[in-house]
Amino acid sequence: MSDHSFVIAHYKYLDDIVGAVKKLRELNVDTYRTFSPFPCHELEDEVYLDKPRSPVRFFTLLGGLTGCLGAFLMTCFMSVDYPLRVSAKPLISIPAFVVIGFECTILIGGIITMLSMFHFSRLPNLLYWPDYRPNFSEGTFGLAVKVKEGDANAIKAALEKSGADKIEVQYAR
Amino acid sequence: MAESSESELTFEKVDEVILKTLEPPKIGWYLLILSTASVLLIGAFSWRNQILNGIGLAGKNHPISWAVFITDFVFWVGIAHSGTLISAVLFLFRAKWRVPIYRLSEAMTVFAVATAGLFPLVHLGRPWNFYWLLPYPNQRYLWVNFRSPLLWDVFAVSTYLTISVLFFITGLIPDIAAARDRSTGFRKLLYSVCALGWRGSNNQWRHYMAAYGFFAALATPLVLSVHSVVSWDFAMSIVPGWHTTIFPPYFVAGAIFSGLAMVITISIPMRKVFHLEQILTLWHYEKMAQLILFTSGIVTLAYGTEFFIAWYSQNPFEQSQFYYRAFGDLKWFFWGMVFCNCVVPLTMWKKALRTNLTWLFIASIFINIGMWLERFNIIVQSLAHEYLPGAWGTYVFTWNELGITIGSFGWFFTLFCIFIKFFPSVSLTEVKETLPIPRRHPEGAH
Repeated sequence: MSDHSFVIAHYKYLDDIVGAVKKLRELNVDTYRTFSPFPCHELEDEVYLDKPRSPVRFFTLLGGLTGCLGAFLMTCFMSVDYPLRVSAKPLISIPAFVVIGFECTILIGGIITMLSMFHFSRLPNLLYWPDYRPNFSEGTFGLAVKVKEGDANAIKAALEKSGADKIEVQYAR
Repeated sequence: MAESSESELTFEKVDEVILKTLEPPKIGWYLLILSTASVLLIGAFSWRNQILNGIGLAGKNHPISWAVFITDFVFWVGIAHSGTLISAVLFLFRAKWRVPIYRLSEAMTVFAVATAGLFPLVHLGRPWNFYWLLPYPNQRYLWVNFRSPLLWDVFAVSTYLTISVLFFITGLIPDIAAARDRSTGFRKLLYSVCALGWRGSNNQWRHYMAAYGFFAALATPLVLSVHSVVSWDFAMSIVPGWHTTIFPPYFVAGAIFSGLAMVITISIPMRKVFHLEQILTLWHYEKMAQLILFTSGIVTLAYGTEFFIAWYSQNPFEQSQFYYRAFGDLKWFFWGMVFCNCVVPLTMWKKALRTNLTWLFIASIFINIGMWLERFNIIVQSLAHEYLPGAWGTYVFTWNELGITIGSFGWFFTLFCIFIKFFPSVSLTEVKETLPIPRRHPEGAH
């Protein structure tokens, strides 16, 4: 058996779990994660207080720029490599290539956004999560704190005051 | 979300109502999929015939070398558009009425683009050479012509398909996870794999919401660009009736118009069969009807503008083309289009009619037909009546191409039927998001 366990609290009310997160911060506990059936900005703001925003945005930008640059390089290279001369029109026709550049910006930007979201969210991950409960995807908010063996009772006591409907201790496997 | 019945919804009730659509299918579903698959087989058989006997089995011939297949292609790309409009554009505008219909319309987008993508291949005549459209290294060092609008189209449609699929999958993941947590047996295994291990943790939601917002931001200009690019297939040429600058906005508005009609056509029977009345309310249909009315106004204005410019420009070829459209040998296609796209939607000015689901369903079918006719008029009538009278012609349909056209509906609806039985066709997550968040101290809400 591992030397740590999870204290898992179930909440019906959003303000209760937000208050519990505040309480954990006061106790200098940061080994926790919250679960919610839908994205809650109020909860996210509390959990990520003073923390930088999701880095996915940089990857979207990077993907978009790569797609755009790649498309212009591709179109220019291929137009010169196999010249199709029509009515003395320029081989490198930027207005025509803007369409390809735009589409590739979106295409590569979208693909990289998806991949970076998967990477940062640790997906796919089909392993068992000992701190997760199925009702967290229905209508219950969850708060799971990873604690050392001896600290479970102290955290449990703190969370009991925060309005949790149910608190359980799960030993990590 | 709308007041009335939805106020009685709870998180548990949302799961119960929506996940009920995933219960093991009954005889009705089997009959439905049997009929759509039979229609699909008609299309498959017709295409097989065309491949074996040659493209001569289609009615396209000099001077009309783009005909029913390109009409079908533009029609299906158009159907796809409202899905992205509803899922991405309305997401950015925070329009709450999109919530119960966005999954349905996103699925419609994916399947409609998958249908549309088949038609250029059908039109090619030698579909096994389709990859010649792609810029790939080959033995003869040939590269594709990037100055051709047809190649822009290849890039636009394939980007659209890819982004629509990614956007669709991203939205589905949390819902599949919810379905996983409430299912057993084979379905639990299926959903566990498809949910990719989603648990709705703070870390996952944080990156998910960032990615979802960027997907919406990327898909919004994409939806405007794709049908603009499709319209440039025509507008970049010098064919009278095609060579016009209003085509991009005209096509985009038409696409949203037809796509919304298809959402209504699909969702009304689904609402009835799966008892989704609490989630898909009349309020949502009224909003869609209002948007249909608005986009119908845009396409009507576009039709009028085409005729006005033909007269005002004093260009004899343009004038001849538009006279031919209204009074030539294919005039009934034109007047049918005017009736379906300009007259029928006018009924939606009346609240009693735009909240009458039977009428909305009938009107949506008229609009679908009207939008197919619109594309037929633009493509076929313009080619039938170009510059030289010696090159004028008319169009004769063949059974084979009609078989492929009908088959495309079978393909689309078969995919749809499979989807609604295996995956949540209404977003659990977003419907829950619109419900009042439970708070112990409501006054503290911000």
